[in-house]
Amino acid sequence: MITVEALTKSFGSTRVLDGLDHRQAAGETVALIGPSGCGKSTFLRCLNQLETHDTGRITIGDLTLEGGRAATTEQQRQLRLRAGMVFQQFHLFPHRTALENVMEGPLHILREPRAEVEARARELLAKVDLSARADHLPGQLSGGQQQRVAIARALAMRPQLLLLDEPTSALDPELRDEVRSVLRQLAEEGMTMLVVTHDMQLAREVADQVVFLHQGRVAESGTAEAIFQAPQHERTRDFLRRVRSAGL
Amino acid sequence: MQIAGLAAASGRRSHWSFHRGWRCLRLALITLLSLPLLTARADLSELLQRGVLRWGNDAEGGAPYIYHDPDHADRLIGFEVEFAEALAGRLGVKSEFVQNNWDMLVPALGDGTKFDVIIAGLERSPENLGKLAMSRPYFIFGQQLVVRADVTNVTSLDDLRGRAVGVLSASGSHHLVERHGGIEAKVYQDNVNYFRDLEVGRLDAVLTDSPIAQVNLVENTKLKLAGKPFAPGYYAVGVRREDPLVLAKIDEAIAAMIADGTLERIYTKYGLWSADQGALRDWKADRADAAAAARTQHSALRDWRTYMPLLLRASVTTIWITCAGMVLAVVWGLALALFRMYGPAPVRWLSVAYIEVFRGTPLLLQIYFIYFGLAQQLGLKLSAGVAAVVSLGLNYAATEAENYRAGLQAVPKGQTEAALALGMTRALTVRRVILPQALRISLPSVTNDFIAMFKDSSIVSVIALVELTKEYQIRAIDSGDYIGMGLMTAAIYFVMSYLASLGARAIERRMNRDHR
Repeated sequence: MITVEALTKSFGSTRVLDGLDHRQAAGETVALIGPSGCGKSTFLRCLNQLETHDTGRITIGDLTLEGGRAATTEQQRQLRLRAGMVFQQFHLFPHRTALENVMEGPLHILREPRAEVEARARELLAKVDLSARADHLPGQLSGGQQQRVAIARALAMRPQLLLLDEPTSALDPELRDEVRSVLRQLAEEGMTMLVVTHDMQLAREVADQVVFLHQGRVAESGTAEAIFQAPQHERTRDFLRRVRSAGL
Repeated sequence: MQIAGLAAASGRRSHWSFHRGWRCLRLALITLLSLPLLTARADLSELLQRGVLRWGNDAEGGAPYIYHDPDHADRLIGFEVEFAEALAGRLGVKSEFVQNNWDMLVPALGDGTKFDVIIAGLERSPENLGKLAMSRPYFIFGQQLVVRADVTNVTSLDDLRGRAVGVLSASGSHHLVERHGGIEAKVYQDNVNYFRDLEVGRLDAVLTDSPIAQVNLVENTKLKLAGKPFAPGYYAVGVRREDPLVLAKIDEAIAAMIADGTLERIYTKYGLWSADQGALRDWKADRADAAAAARTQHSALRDWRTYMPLLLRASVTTIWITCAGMVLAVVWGLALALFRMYGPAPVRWLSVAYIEVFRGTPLLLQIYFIYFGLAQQLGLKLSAGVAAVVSLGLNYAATEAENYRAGLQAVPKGQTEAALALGMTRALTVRRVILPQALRISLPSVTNDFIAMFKDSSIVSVIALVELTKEYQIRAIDSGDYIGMGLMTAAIYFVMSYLASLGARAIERRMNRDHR
């Protein structure tokens, strides 16, 4: 499903990704953890080309993008159509209602018929438990509600893969559960997801596989249980200790 | 209003400070008002003692009155220049020319601080005699129609019903055309541009004083005189009513210059002498003159029923050029902003160049360029209304483009990323996500500019378009009541701006209701 080979990316003289390899099967959910600056967000952004990688190869489904300037704008767009993105700060379109946010992509990018798009958008809002908020503007919704709309907006494009960049970090602790349960449900339904997170509870609940990144490479990976209970790598142990003492 | 407000404000603080404030204010007012008394007053002894006769005229008046010598650009010549010099010589003083806009000469004479007399082709008309004292005539002229050389069916004003006739603002010709009725008077500030507009076809005729017509047609084959001069009139020296001794002295001097042939010599030199001028010798003031002179200035406020409809009619012009100009500015400005933000490099540069040039040069210059320049060089004869709308629109577009750019840049980067991540192209991202948000952000600046344009639109009066400010100018000169007319005009501007402002706030509120 996803194959990433020897990915590198530098910002100026700082090498953020340093030959990163990653494989993930369809229907699998992977949690990407690691300290700040380890490259996990950059990795995610490379996967849907909000950042372009320097060298290496990204394959999602039937589409492969080589590093450098090889990728055309259209190839990038094709990749984005396969890999939906959910942001830490939601980035909903503030001038459109929840329903319009969800309909925006299918209606204007895929140019599907409005009636069909609206029906599916309402279904998706029901799925994230926001039917009652369909006509609210983002400014009238709580953070947890906004993030669930953002997930529905990404799903409306029927992506093969969902990328989530710290989906619960901007939320008050009591609102995180709503988002976790939506993601848990998606994982159970067999959605392929790659989640960058500091939220260990989220990782434990949804991830089939946890990957620990360090200095732009995969330092350790395994089942959530294996990584959290018996981390092999010194850095992983350090990281988990700090995260736990911070009460995350 | 401001003075009352000031006094009321200090009164609220304490009785003592009210008195003190009022005393200071009164002192300031008295000082201000007495300043002219300390400087030159134009009574006769003062004038003779000073040894200089300061005469007001407008050097843009052109040939044959007063113009720059083609061989010495810094020297003024013309029959009125020589007349003034001869007149000053008779009084035993030197002559000094003072520049003033022609249509503002009468009010500028005021209390005589700026110049002593007006020698500027000022007609000895009832309108003028109502406002100032006038000497015996020094020149006899007629009203002359001018048309394009190929026109054959125009010999009098009656042939021009429903047509456009160019006249000098506040001149005898202007009053004549207005009184005639049924003719569209196009009002100009000088004696040159109406001939140009007649040549290119924006006017059907020009009505002007015969000397102007004669001199301007000497080397012009595109235009010709139509019919004989009619409605004879007299040029006379304008003098303050408070200076009867100066007036008497000038009358005496003119009579002597007629008798000894000085005037004939000057007028012959400029090709203006004819047997008609002989009537100058036998001229006598008639009773009508005295009646007109006795009539005092009338209050525009008391006569608001006469003037208000005229001002309101002119404000319709102000409203439509402002609205049409703003529509152009908003649309073209948006295009410029998008070119500048998202266009390929050459388009970006062109857009930046446009914005900088239009913001960095005066609107007045742009109006002249578009109205006169395009007609002359490219034969693009925009009507005054269209030229006004285009000038205002093109100029304001540069400002609006910058407003939009500020709005576009204020939309958070996350919005672009979210749109791209969804699979939108650049163009779709701008259209569906960035632009709607940017427009909301820009809206207050754009509506502020709309209100500002109401006031800036007054500048188009320079191209013979009578909008509110021009109408004010014309009527203020007519009535002599600059304050009353000004209050009415200001009230209309205020109401227009205020309504526009209310409308703008309503739109902003509506937009914000959808966007929290």
